[in-house]
Amino acid sequence: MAKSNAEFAAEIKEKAATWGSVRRLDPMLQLKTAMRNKNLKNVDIAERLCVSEANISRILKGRGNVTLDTLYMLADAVETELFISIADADSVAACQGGKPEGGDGEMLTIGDEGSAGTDGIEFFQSPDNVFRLVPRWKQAERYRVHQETGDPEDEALVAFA
Amino acid sequence: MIRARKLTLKELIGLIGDPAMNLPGLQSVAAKQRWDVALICGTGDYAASRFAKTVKDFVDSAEKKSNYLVMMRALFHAVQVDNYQKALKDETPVSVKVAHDFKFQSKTVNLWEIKYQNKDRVYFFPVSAGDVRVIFLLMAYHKKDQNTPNEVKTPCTREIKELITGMAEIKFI
Repeated sequence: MAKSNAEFAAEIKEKAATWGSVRRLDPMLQLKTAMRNKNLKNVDIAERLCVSEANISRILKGRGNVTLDTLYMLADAVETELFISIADADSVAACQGGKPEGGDGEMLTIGDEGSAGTDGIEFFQSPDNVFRLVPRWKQAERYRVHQETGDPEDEALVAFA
Repeated sequence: MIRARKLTLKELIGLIGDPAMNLPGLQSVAAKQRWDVALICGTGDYAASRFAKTVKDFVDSAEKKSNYLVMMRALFHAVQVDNYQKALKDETPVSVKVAHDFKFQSKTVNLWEIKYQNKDRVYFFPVSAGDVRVIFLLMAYHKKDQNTPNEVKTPCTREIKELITGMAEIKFI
């Protein structure tokens, strides 16, 4: 029997209590990794965003719940791109190699495509009439990640690249 | 011979019993690690290791699970660099410090702890020998007072001594 909305609500609340902190921390650690690779310090990010270094330090340690606007500004300051996707892992797997084979859910990839040889967004229409706009290189990368993690449920992904 | 198992972040997350969710961070932690993270597991099944048992015993509420997840995610961020302790302190919300020390083979040996919030801890011992650099997670714990209790010190000291004396015979399974 399908779950009721009340059951969903309880489940979502419990999930948020358990996963909320690490969900907030994770994109920040991805940013820190990107900063390390680009040899950027907190002070550089603070100066680029015209805020205090203490503020940046606090944010990048996952203390706080940043807005999407802030996340995009942080990505700009780190000279990287922010990708947000809401996707079903099955459909991601099905899209590997540019050959969608059904599956449900939808995937929206946000961000400029700039890498040489990997640019170009592809539009896919699956049998369930869901259009997918996914650059080819992202499909392969996402498929690899989902293969490693192996979770079939819909989920939100935040990644910097 | 000491049998040990190197673990991924996903496997460590799985120990809290929740369905392993796809953390987007798993993408970044696929980056090359300078340190491995491992558990001592005599039977070969890491889910039956002492560390896993302590996770089951002490990480038993949403808040404790949340704290454990933050510590594990932070650790896997930090092990991407040589000086993982500095990375933990400077780049993550968790801190790291010596929880207990003891004399063994004429040297002072430290039991380390990763701490997050007031009470939740993960105890570990880093082994660096040649090309092998491994952080052995020994125990998860929810502290009730300020001092490191014997409940932690005794088994961790025993395991560290075993690691030091059997360092040449650690078999990763």
